[in-house]
Amino acid sequence: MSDADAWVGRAARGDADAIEHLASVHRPAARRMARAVLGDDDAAEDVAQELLIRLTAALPGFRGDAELSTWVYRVTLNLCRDQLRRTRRRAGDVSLDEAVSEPALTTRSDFGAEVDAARTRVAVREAVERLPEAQRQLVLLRYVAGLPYREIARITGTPQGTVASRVFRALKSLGEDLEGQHLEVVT
Amino acid sequence: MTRDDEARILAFLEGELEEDERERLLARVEAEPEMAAALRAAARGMAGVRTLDPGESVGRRRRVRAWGLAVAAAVG
Repeated sequence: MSDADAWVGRAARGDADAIEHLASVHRPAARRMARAVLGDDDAAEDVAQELLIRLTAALPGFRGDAELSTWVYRVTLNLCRDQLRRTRRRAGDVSLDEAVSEPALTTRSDFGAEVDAARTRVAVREAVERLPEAQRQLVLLRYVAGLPYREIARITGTPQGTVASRVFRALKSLGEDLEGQHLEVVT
Repeated sequence: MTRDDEARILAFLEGELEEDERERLLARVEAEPEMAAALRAAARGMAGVRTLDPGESVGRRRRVRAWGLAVAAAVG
């Protein structure tokens, strides 16, 4: 067992020093990653703090450092995604009628948050529809149909590397489009 | 930015990049504003498009059907 695995083992058993050690390792890593994704120090700090809370709760389930490092990486990305989703259009950009046509509104109690979420989804759908046809197809196959790149390459008759490159460019265009519509990150 | 760079950023955002490659990518993002801007734009795009994932939230059957048709058309 490596030293790193031993720290995880001790932390999983509730050893406070080990938990503090792991926090001192993973919190800066999460903050660095979140800063790269979000480009904002305060938002990155929020992600790192939330990561730490979740890490402490999840520690008893870990068997080794590799597993923990992968978990930290993926949870940090999810938390960054949550930050980026807390977006809204400026008032009036989408009509309330358009927003409330989303059925989810009738089942959730947090009406304001749901209106923001519905507005965001409307904006995203419109932005996806503005993508060039080839990029739109790939984005739908990847993120709505959930297909692996290998399968998308087979279906579209496109080399896998080209699929990945086009998906990246589509996401980048989509992000720039959404940013250009003055979607604001709500922190 | 090369196509390899694009593929690496995509793999990073999808949570599939190995630790050593992740470190190299983050170092470049911190050093190269163009790469940082590309990563952030793609991250925003991915966060947006994942809101259309049928498994992401409740109450979206109507839209999922519409997007399902679009996917079927894409598959041809």
